[in-house]
Amino acid sequence: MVLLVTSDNKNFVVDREVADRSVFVKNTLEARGLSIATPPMLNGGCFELTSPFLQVLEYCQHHRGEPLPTTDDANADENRKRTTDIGEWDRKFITVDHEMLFEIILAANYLDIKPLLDVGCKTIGNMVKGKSPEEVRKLFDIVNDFTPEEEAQIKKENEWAEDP
Amino acid sequence: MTPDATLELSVEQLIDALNKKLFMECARVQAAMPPRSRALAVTLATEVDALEKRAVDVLQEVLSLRNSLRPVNRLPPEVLASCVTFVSDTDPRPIVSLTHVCRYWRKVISSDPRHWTSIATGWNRLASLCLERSGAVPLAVDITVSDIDMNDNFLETLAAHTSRISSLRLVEHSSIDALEDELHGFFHSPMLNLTSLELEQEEDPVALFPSSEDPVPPVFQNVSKLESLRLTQTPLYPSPFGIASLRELKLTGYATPFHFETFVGFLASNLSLEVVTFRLQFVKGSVPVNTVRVVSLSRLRYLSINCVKPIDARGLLSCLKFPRGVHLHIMHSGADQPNLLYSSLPAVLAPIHEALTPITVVKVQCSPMKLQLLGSRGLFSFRSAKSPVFWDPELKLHPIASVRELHVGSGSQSLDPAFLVPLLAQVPALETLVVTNTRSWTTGIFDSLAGQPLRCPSLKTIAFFNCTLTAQTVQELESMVTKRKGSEATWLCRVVIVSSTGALPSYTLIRQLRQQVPFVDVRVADELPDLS
Repeated sequence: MVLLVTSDNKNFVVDREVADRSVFVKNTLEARGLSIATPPMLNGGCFELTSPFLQVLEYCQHHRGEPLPTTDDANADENRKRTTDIGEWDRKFITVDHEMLFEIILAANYLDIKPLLDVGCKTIGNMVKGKSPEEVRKLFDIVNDFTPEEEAQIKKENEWAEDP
Repeated sequence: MTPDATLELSVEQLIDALNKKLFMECARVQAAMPPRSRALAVTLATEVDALEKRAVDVLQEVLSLRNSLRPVNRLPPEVLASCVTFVSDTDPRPIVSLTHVCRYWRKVISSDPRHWTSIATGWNRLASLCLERSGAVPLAVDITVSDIDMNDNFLETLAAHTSRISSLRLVEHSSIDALEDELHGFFHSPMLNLTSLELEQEEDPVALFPSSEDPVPPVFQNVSKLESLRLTQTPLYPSPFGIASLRELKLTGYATPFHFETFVGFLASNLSLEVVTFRLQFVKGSVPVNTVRVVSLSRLRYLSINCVKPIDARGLLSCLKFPRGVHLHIMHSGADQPNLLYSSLPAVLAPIHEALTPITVVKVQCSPMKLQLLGSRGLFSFRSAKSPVFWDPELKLHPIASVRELHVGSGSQSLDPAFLVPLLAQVPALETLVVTNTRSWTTGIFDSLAGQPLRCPSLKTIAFFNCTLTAQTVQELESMVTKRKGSEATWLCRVVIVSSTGALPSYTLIRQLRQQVPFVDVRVADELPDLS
């Protein structure tokens, strides 16, 4: 068992197999030779950590025992990236509000859980696929902050893309 | 002007009149102003312009700051860039659109070369943009000759980047006479980092680039790192040339018969080949049937032969020497005589019979009929359009008592127990059963594995790939596990369920299964994991 403490001081006791889904936690435990550790002190402050961390734990528990992607297998990485399909369970898992989605992605990135990070990135990719810039802005509550000069360049690029 | 006359003026006329009056007054004041004051006015106007521009910039910065607080823009650049990699594989147009969302997205996406590595004809200026943004990373280039705009200098622009091209696909849809010089110039530029080359001609094969003084086409002259060569209806040149790094050769789409000697000559010049796949028909009478083996492909791992005539496969196999462990895939595409290759198998396989035994893996697909036997030293596969008696003891091909891995599939149909159960009886050493592309199971298959006499006592793993598993299937599987636990059988310890589409059994069913089987591996993937 491993004790994980989030930056808002919540304790989580999880199986080593579950904790090892995070390369960050796995490496930390191995480097220190510990069976009980108090990582990860996530760079908190911006948001409450317990909530996304619970989600991440749920993901790790569901996928426990599955082979972890190896960092040296470039082809596998490419294949993994090529497909935008998301499994049924993962799709349901990642169907959360935008705020939570981004926090899960940030946590997966920090904790180095590549499969979860992929699920998050694919979800964002699928959300913006086929949308116009204005639709993407509306989706994520972004405003157009381009200068007139940049706008002129963008107009040119649009012409190239529309009429290649 | 009388008050009545003023009432007759329109608003536009009134504004025009006021403007004229204002202009005349300004001109009068400027003329009356001393020269020094006029210079001051010009300076002030310039400063006002600068302030106005600064105000616009500050406003943009405020908007950018506002954007940076949005959750999506709190994603680190590398993560946002990764999200974009899932938007499009090769076409940069959707990516260009995303660079127009806001400044942060533009900066992140434009500066990540991964998004800009695909170049294709017909993109014109977009291709230039990709070349610029891709920096120094390797490029994947797709040229369709008929799409080249003669006024665009596409090939000329690309010629400056040939050292970066790692993958090149050239499709010729029409005559290249008008572009011959440009193409010749392009292919004379060294492509020192080219690893994958695909040439496709959709019309009758014609010599693409070679000349009488230059028998080896320029495209093959400076490709010292080429690993994969895929030719569709493109001639292999009679003069043999070797590419030391070549690992893969694929020939497809040949409408006209091929000279056997040319093909074997090419193989003999490229002994580094590891994967060879081809579908072609040799010129009648050019295949030597009883020739001694002449070409030793010592690194060959996979050879796939799709021949119209079994004699072609037989002739080729008798000319080749390859290492133990090679995967040999023989397909028969002569649909009018589906049993021809099947009945010729003993003769076809005779030259390599020794390398194929003992058989340890059998793969069977019912629709279309396909049979693969994988030995510890080799594999052969047989495919036919019909479903003949697939396991004909009279043929005495190979004993299968030592088979440890059995793959069965039914081409998305139901799996017939009358087909599988007798086969299970012939493979007592079975350890792994793999079921692929099967819509549903019918009662009897699992029962046969739990009945007496006990079938396959060493069975440890059952894997399902793209199968529809109903509640009934899982219950039968559970029941089988329970019954086998009480026998002398090895405990079935692993069930693997993989779907490439995400269609997996419900969580409740999986949980139910996990109560009986120690390792239940459920996942979405394009292929099964390594079951060893």
